[in-house]
Amino acid sequence: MTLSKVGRGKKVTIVSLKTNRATEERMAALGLFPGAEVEVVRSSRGGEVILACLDSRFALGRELTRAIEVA
Amino acid sequence: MSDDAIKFFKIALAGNPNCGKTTIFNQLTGEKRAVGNYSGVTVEMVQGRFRHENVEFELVDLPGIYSLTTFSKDEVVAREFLLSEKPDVIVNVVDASNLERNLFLTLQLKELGIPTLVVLNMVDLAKARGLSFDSKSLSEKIELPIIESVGSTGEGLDCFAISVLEALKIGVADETTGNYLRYSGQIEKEISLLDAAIDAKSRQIESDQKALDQPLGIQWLLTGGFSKEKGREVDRNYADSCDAPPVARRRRWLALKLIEDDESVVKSWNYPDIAKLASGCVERLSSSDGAPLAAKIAAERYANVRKICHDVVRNEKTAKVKLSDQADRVLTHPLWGLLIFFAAMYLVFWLTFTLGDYPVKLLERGQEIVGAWCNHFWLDSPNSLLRSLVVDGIIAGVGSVLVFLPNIIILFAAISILEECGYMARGAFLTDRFLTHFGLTGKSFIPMLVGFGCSVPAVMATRIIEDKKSRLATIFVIPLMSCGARFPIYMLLVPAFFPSRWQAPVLWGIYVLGIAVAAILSTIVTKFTFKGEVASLLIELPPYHKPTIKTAGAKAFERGWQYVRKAGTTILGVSILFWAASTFPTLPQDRATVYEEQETAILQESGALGIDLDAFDDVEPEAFDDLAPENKLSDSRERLGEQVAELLERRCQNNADEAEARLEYSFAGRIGKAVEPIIRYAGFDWRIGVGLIGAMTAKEVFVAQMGIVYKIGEVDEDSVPLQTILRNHYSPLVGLCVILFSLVAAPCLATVVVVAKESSFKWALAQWLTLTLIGFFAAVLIYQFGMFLQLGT
Repeated sequence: MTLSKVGRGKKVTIVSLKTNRATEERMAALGLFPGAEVEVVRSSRGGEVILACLDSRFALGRELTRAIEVA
Repeated sequence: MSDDAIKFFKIALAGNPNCGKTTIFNQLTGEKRAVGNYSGVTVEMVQGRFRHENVEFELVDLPGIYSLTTFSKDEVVAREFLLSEKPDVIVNVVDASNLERNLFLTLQLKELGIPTLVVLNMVDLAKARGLSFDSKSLSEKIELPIIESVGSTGEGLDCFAISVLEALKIGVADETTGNYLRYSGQIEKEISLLDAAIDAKSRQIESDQKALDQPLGIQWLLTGGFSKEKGREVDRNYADSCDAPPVARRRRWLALKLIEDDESVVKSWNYPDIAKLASGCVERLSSSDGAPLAAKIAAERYANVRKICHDVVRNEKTAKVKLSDQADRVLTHPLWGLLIFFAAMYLVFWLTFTLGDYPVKLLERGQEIVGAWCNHFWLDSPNSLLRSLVVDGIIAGVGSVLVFLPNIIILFAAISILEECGYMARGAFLTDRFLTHFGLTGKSFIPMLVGFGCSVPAVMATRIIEDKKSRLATIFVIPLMSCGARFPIYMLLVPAFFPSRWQAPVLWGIYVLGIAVAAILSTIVTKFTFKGEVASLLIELPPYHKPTIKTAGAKAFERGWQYVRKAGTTILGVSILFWAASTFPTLPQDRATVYEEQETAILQESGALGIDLDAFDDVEPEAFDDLAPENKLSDSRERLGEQVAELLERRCQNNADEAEARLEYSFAGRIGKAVEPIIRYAGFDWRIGVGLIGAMTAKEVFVAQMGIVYKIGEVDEDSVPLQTILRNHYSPLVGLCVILFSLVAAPCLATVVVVAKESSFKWALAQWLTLTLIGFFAAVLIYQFGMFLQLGT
């Protein structure tokens, strides 16, 4: 399942990222790497998502959430 | 060195965005500096100084960063500074309420091997959120000295200087003991393999005495050492202990960066044998699964951080943390959030233009007064070149820019309030959905908003966009956001050519048109100029907090000051240049004589009437009734009044003719004449051409230029006589084309310069040409179409 399809309030674990290297490293720096646990604070039909991770909130665009495989 | 000699240390302030770094900077240096609650507010590094006893500290506020990779401009700037500017100590400000993510950077900074002091900031906020920590045990675990502080009140910062010196001592000592973070077995094995290879290499280089030829950064890393450059007096004790090159940790850092395949290290690496060895290491390590090695190493760092935090942080979350999330339920809602957002934006613009209008009017009056006052010095020689330079060149040029200062300050104050309270990041989230359709991201939104104030800070604000493609695309379309400098052009032309009930919709339409053109252009630019996808939005939403008027005011003031500086430097230079271009070459004597003779003739006639014409310069026609009755001529007062009025008109006409002849003869006029055959297709004559060429340096120059062309003397956009003259000379169609051209074409000189600096000269040139061509052809199209419909009369 991709992150874009996760409903609000669900806690999921990032499995893999299918983006480019720059994005992956940028996400890793924010604590968003495979194995990290995140909570979806806001989801939308378009796929934009607000995540909670390590006491921080992050907004992710739809292209990105579609490239993030979670479980 | 004697004991009382002043010691000098350079300190780099590093930390995550929103960790309160800048607040601490302000507390320490006393310099009132902006503090933003938005990723990457610090676009330029700011320096400040403070003294403690006989030690002078220079503080450099680095941009907020999450990591030491090189994927965003801010990270590159910060890392370059740490590697090549050789700070003596890094002060790592850490947001205590978000320890895990902040310590991730701390560990990376530690790996650089520069003495580091950790400032655990915002401990009050963390405690309010139910977090408590054992900072002594944390300090032991990360092997770095720690002080706790509350940046906003300055609490805990009184021992800052002593702690920095202490950290320096510990850091230098630690250099040789070599305690540092360990990675998992396999990675560690490859690191030591490369480490050994680099060690051998550096020994070889040392013996070859070639070390100085190596590129910056690498050379420093290999030769190591705290700066002992000329003119800097480093405390001898510390310097002595650095004499043995403390290269061990930096070697390790290099090895790690090679394994991470770090772009800038690999690029500047010119030892092919070690590079080959490194790629072997990467291959062995990454064969197990597909994830990039750097992300894997990052995950290990995080695992380490988590272990540390688990032991030292106690978390009893209170309800307080939920408040920000609750606010976000409404404020990031796809419908309500968007409505609130547009209302907020409307308010920002309303404040900027409605509230800003009053002080602008005052400043314009002030400008007139200063101009008139300066004229006093040249009462005897009104044709003096120096007078012309000061009054027509400098005061008119610089002044016409400075009068928009209130608009700029209000816009930036509003933006910084929104930034500081954390709302701007939400704005980025809300607008992302639309902006991605046009090849931009939500992060493009803030720079574009700033663009309505001025393109120059807007282009600088694009540094927050990590993705190069959308950053370049954003830069490309920023000039299409109608900046404050274009406002006077609209205010001159719209009332001149459109009936009053059409004025507001036309003005509104201009702004919307600019945005529409930007949307189309950014779509095309990202589609056809770049390969691959534009990176999606990824932005931290900091918790909301109350903005303080003080910091917002400080930031608005700072931006305003930047604007004033720009007016004092770029615009001043350009004004002088343009004044010279429209003054020289001066009219040849024989042609000038014609006008002088006319003037003399008129003055003789008035002299015969016993009247000093100069006294009537500002007099309304009705005032002639007040002419002295004891006048020696027997004619009735009305008769005299008519004669004087006629003389005045002749004189005015003569002056206008002379000014036009002078301008036509000058460089500017010749250029205008030269381009007339081309711009004619858009309905422009050479006079408009001169104005538009002037506008290339700074948009608002157009208004001043039209004033000079039609010699109305001091002109501003409300100048009714100039508007009347324009209405008599040109059709509304031409007016519309001029507006369109000013909106789209030829971004001003300052913008071109900053774009070249922030991207590349090629990009600045491409942008300039594209926008100018589009603006011109749009004007031609509209003009020709209008003429076809016979609207041009």
